[in-house]
Amino acid sequence: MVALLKKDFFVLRKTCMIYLFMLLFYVAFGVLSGNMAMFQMLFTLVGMMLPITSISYDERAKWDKYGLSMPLNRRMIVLSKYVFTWIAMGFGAAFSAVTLTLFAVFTHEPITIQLYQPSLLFTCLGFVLADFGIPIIYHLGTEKGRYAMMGLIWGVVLIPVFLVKVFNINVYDWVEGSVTVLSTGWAIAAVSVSTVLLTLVSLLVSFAIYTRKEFG
Amino acid sequence: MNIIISNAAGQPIYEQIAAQIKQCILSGELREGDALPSMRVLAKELRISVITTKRAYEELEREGFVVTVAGKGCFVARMDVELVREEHLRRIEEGFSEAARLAKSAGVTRAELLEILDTVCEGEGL
Amino acid sequence: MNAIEIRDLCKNYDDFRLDHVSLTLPEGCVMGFIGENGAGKSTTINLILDLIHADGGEVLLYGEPNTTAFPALKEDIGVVFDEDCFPETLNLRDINSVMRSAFRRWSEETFYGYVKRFGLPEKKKVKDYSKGMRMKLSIAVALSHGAKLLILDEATSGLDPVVRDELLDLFFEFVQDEHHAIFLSSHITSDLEKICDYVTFLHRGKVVFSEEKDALCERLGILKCSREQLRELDEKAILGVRESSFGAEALVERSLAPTGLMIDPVTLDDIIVFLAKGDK
Repeated sequence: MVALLKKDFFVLRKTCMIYLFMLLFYVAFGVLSGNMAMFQMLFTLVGMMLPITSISYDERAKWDKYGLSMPLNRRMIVLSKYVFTWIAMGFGAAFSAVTLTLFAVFTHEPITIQLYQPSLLFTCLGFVLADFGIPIIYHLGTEKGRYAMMGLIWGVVLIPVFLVKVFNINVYDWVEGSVTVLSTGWAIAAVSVSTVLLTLVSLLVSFAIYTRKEFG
Repeated sequence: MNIIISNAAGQPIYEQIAAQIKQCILSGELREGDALPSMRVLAKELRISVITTKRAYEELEREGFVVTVAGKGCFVARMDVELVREEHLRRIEEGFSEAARLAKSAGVTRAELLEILDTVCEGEGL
Repeated sequence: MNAIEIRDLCKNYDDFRLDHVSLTLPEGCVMGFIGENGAGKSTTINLILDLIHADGGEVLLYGEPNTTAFPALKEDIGVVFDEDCFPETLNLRDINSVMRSAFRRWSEETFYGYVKRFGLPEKKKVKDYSKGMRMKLSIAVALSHGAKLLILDEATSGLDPVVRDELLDLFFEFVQDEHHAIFLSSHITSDLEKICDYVTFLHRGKVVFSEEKDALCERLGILKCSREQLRELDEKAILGVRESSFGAEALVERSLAPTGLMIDPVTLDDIIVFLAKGDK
């Protein structure tokens, strides 16, 4: 597995650099504008994009075929993609925590759990997107998979908008209300646990898809 | 020892190899107890299949020129005087067959052929 | 011990079927896997490597089925495909690093030895390599992890004669060890004529011949005769025919053809071409 992680890292070296620059840019932007929310969304994006990008690089190089001729079993190959994502997300979450803490220290804001909540939620969202993305890409291949993912995201975005328009919900109240709800310890725990469970399910589904896949 | 094979000659390669090794043995270049190159090394050097070299060695063993010692390889066998004589007689007969064939196709008579043989033998001091 | 043993291997696609393919490659030997394009050679190799799932039959590698113990078995197998399989952004050092963690018996020394021998540029990324260089890279990797069995799928088609000659030397060296074996599918029959001990001919998904190369080439021949003489021949003797305005050529079994007719020695190319023509 180490071999595969190394490979993914080497392959995505450049992409990681780009993300790192984007991160730094947004951090600077956030610091200057006093609003740190923007760059936390980035981690979500990273979570979704990294595994998908690495799978598409693999497909382009026809690496899957070659990888399977190495002494690795199929599950290991799938797991390594997830682990790679987790490592990237973990790094992102740590980075986010550090920056937020530093920012709070410099602006003399109190350091509470509330500070890190949005990060945690966005990280969970990143995991969830990867949990959907990886099996979809494995099943449909990179090209069709990309469309499927875009469709999924549009759906996720459009449905609330649709609901708002149809049922005339006051968006601000709704957002404030949900933020309060989500700020409770219970909600956070629930979200975290369900993310973990979803990831496990996604892993098993990906195992099943990849084991049956044909690489002719 | 030189072994030179030709793909263009009609003779199967394993026969060419066997014949040349036989020649080396008969001429004394290879002596009793000398080790022949391993089948694989020979195949690699000549760039042919190891099955071909194996067949050549098997033929040599069958005719009594070499012996295989399990795990060690092929060695030139103790020279049996009868065997050598037989091989020489065979070669002489082959030579004569060729001459007779040529004579027939060229219209040379048996008498003329024997005359040539006499002349040649005199030249060789036979 | 057989390096490869395939029994009744079957695979069904919509427009093609691999039909009960069987072959055996003993240790210490080289087998050439030949057939026209589309005969099923790559499908067979993909089945050997468990890249696709068989619909019937089994594959044994050094006695072990290729489905159960396969990850461990693959330490012993070096594979070279006809397509380049390395991600473009990697360079030699990256590949060495990855392979070091992937294979238990990876030898960095051996790998760089081949890199030097093949003249591969150390700093460039794979995407800047020519097709020939990528192939040499795949071969260098395949030979650097202590493999016993080499499987090559049309690996040498893009290479010039000088390099192919060098590779032949490498292959001969490889099989000096009696436990090693090579299974190569190739269109370059001149190379195969030199190194192969066995040949298997695949035609439309079926094995037509699988035997010692020398024995096969002795058993078959190219008969040259008139078209009238051709019609008089035993049908069972003929495996493929080519007619012209001045006569005919046929691939025949020498033992079933009448004596006295002119029969030329046969090359592997002849066999492929005449077999393909034979169906028409």
